[in-house]
Amino acid sequence: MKKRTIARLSAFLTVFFLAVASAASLDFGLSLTNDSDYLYEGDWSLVQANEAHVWLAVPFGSSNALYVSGLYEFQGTFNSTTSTLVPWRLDLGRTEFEGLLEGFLGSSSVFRYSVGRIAVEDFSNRVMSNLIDGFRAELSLNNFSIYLGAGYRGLTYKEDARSLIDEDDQTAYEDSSVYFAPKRVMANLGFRLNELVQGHDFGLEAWGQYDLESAGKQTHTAYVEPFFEGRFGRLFRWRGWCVAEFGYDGEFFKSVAAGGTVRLSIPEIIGFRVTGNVAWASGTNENFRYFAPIRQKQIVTVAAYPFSDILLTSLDLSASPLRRVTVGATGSALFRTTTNAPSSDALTKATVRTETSGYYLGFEPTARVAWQAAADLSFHLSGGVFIPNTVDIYTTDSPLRWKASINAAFNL
Amino acid sequence: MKRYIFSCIFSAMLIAGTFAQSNAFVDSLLSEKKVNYGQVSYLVLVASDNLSEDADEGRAFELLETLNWAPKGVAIADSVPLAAYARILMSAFGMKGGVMYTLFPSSRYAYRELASLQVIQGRSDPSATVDGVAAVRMLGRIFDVMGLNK
Repeated sequence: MKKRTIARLSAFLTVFFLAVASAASLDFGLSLTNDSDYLYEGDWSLVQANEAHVWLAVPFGSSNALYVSGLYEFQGTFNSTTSTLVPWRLDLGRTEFEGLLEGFLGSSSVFRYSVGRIAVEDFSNRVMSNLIDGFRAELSLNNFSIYLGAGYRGLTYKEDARSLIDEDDQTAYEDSSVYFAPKRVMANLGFRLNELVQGHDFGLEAWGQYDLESAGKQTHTAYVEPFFEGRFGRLFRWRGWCVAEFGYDGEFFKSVAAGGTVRLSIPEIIGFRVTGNVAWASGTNENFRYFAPIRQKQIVTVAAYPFSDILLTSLDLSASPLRRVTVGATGSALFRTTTNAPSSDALTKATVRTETSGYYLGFEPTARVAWQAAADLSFHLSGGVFIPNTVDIYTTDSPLRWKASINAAFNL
Repeated sequence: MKRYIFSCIFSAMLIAGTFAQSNAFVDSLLSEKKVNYGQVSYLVLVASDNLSEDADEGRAFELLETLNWAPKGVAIADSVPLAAYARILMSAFGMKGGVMYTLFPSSRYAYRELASLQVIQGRSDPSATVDGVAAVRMLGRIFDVMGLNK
């Protein structure tokens, strides 16, 4: 039985590699990136990461393609007392077979599919946005599209997956001997109606994840996300969304999140753009539990607050004063939504008062410059500071948290 | 549709006074499923003012070879891959390109450059042969990128 399996696998791999090798039109490349993050919060620290990302693209006809990518990463973390080096990390990047079928349900129908290690994301980017090992399919008919996908997250790197739904996830995330994300499967289903009302699209997505970890507490969650986005004239755009989360970990629970964006763009005036953004996620109180998306992300750049028990309001200005150069600045005000203690991971040296009363957590101004030096070479500099509220949340000796980042990318 | 594409792109070129090829040539080019080096040479070299429009495809291909913008060993009747067409366009219009194109001005990096500039759009294969409509559309986008329509 085992021999037969190996023989089948060998035959499959032989056919596969022959097919790839015989495809005369393969394309390949290498991307090199540098990410340096300098943090100062009473004490300094530096995170240095360099990545080499190699990729191969093999078209099969005009409608199908195979894309394979892998990465090497070096990472060093330094501060005034210790340094930690991870000299190498090798992993599989986006690797998928994708294709499309046009016109099989009428002239305006398009069916797209993708199988492998694929990228998935929800409308708001607040529930899920990462690679999964699975599939994705989408059928578009005129101005209507329906899409679905499913996959396994347990073979992706935990730092990328950022699966932090329950305490077991947190324990595994903090355990340096664990590489992979917790064993969870996920699925999504959604539809979108384009131009249902003139200039406006509406849609609904449903996401769910099932905890396969046999040890510890099993936490299963589902998310329902209605959304809309629209435009008024050529200059104004807006979008809104909300998420209702339902979960079970021995008992049922629920939480909610919502957000919206308004943007004014005036391309004629040095590409000027102003964006207002609001995002809110529930915390634990008598009605809701803390919002726990499938992939948890930091909500602002400097302070590491997760998207849970938080209200973010921000205003962003950007412009392109020179060709290939974009500058921007953002001001973000953060509030907690309950009187629970704010996330302890957000600020490393700030101390939460024993008695807190207010909701305002702090203000974060940031600035950035992006320079696309050439089509294959780009630089990005950014910096900012988080000013904690030392009146009624943090103690008066809580320091400011500064951050400066330099990112560069070169595509060979 | 083909007439529409032709009229949009070429009317802009005509207004700019850059060149005026015969309708017959462009009509025949737009109906080609696979354009060849002779057609591409004439189209691009005339559009970029490297060749007078009263020349023929044979003369255009000769010049393309002389300028070393055609891949080695190709014949005038050979179909043109997308990457090779990108190299011809970038060379003819004197486009600078990125770091890798500056160091290695090959079809490979010309294809990448034009893809990043959206001259090549959508799903594409660098070795796929170019059809007439795509050849004319890409040329029109080069005019946009270079600001030659103004």
